Amino acid sequence: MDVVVLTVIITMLLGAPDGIILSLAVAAIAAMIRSQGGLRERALGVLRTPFLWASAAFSLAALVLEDWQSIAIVWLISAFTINAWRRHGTATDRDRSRMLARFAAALTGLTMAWVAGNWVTTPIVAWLLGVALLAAGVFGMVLRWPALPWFAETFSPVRALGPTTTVAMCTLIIAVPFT
Amino acid sequence: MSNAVVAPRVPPDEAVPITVAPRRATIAVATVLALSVALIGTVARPVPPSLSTNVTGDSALAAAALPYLDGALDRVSIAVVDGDTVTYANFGADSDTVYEIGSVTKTFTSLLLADAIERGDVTAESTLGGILPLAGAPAADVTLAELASHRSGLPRTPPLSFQEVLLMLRSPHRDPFVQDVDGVIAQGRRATLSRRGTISYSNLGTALLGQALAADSSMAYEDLVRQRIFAPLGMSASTVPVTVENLPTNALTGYSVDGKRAPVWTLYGSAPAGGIRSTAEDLVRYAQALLNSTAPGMGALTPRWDDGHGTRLGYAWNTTTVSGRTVTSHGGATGGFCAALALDLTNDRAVIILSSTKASVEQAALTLLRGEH
Repeated sequence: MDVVVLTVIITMLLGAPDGIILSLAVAAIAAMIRSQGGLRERALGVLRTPFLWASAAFSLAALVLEDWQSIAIVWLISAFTINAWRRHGTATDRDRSRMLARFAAALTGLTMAWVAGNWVTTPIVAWLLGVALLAAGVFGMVLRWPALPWFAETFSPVRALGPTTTVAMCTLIIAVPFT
Repeated sequence: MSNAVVAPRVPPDEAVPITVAPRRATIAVATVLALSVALIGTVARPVPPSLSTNVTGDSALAAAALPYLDGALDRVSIAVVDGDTVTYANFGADSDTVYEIGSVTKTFTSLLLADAIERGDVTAESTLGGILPLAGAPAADVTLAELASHRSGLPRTPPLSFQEVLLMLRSPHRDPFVQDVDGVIAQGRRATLSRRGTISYSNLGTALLGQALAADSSMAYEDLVRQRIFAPLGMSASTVPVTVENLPTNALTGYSVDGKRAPVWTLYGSAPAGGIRSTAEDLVRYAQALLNSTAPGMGALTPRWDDGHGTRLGYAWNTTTVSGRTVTSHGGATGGFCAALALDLTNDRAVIILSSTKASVEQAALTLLRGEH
C-alpha cells in the first residue's frame, strides 16, 4: 500500500495536520508489527523500513511547508517517474503490480492538481511539467515492462492486497470530486 | 495458468536491471503511450476563468474600479449613486444581471425587524422563544435585537452533521445551509450560547431572526421580504428562491477565489442570512430608498453597539469612519459570489458592487464611495 496515498485519504477526512500525524503514527505501528527478532533487531528493522521513511519525509515536508496537497501532488507524480526509470536501489519498482499501483497514484496526483490546484495564481507551466513527468514515467514503465514479473515474490492474495488497496484508494480520491 | 507463475521470479529487495535492450516494438509502444499521455494532459489542462473584458456602461467608472477588482474572475456589476445621478459599469454583465448577494441579505432582514417594531408587531426585546417553538432552549431567551446585532451568543454557523461534512468534502464550495425552516429552528433548539452580549457574527442568529419575523407575520420569509421591501421599492428582479428548484435553469453561477465553479447557494431555511438574488439596478433602488430615508425600517441603520474595533453596529448594518466620512455598509459572500453595499448617508452617495467570484469587493466599494479614484 502506498503510504502517501493512505495519508492523502486520511488527511482528506480529518484535515491537516491531524490526518498527517495520524498517518505517520499508522506507518510507525505498521513498521513495528512487520519487524521481527529481539528488541534491538526490531528497532533496527523499524528504522530500515522504507515506507516509514517515506511517510516521515512526506509528513515533515507537508507540516513545514503547510501545503500537504501540493506536496502530495509533486510526491505522487515524481515518485512514479523516478521508480519507473531507476533500475537499482530501493526507489525502483520490482514488479508490474507495484508499478501499476504507482501509476494510479501518479494519475491521482495529477487529478488532485486539476481539481484542487489554484490555477488562477499557479502558472500553467506547472501543470505541463506534471504531465511531462507522467509521460516520461509511462515511457520508462513500458520499457521495463517486459523484463518485470507481475509479482516480485511468489503470488499470494495477501501480497496482492497492497497494490490493490492503493488502486482502490486512488479510485476513491478521484471519484470523490466527480460524483 | 496465471502470468504470475510464468513471469520471472525476482528475490525481494534486489534491483531489476534491464538485462536486454528493449525491442523496437517496445520502444514504439512506449513512445505512443507517452505521447498520448502528453497530448491528453495538454488538451485537458486547467483553464482558469478571468475577468470579462466585455465592458459596458461608464468607461471612466470601469477604469477607476478595475485596479480594485484584483480577485474578480468572471462578471462584475458596479453602480455609483451620487444624489440623483446613477452611474453603472459592467464587466461581462448588464445592470440587470442577477447575482447572489449573500449576507447583504441580512440588511433586508434587519429592515424587516425595524419595520415590524415600527408597526408594533414585535419589540426589540421580544424573545425568540416567544415566537418560535424553542421549548426552553438557551436560544429561547435571546432577544430580536441581540439576534440582529450579532450579540446573541449563537454560533456563526451550526455544527455540520457527518453527512454534511462528507458532502462538503466532495464539493467544498457547495451551499452548507441545507436545513429547511423546521431544521433551522431545530438547530436553534440545540444551540448553546457563548459570550452572549458581545458582538460575534452569527448566520444562525440572523436565520432565526428572519424566520421569527416571518412566523410572527404568518407568512414565509420570502413572501415577507417581497411584500414589505421588494414591492414597495420596485425591486422586481430581486427574489428569495429558498430552494434550488425555484431557480431558473440558466441561473448565473460563480467561481471560488481559486477559479473553481461554485454551485448556487439558496440557503433554504437560512435564507434570511444570505439567500437573496438581486441586480445592480434593484440594489440602486434599495440604496436610493435608504439614502432618501423612504425604505421601510430605516431605524435598522442607527448605530447602537460598539464592536471594540472601530465599527458600530445597528441591526446588521456596520457604521465606520473612512477618511473622515461616516460609512454605513454591509458585505456578502456565497460560494461563488461577493457583494458590497456602502452608503454615505451624509453626502447622499452609495456604491454597489456585485461580483460572480468569491473575492471580496468591500474595499473596492469603500474606495469608490470616497471618490478617491
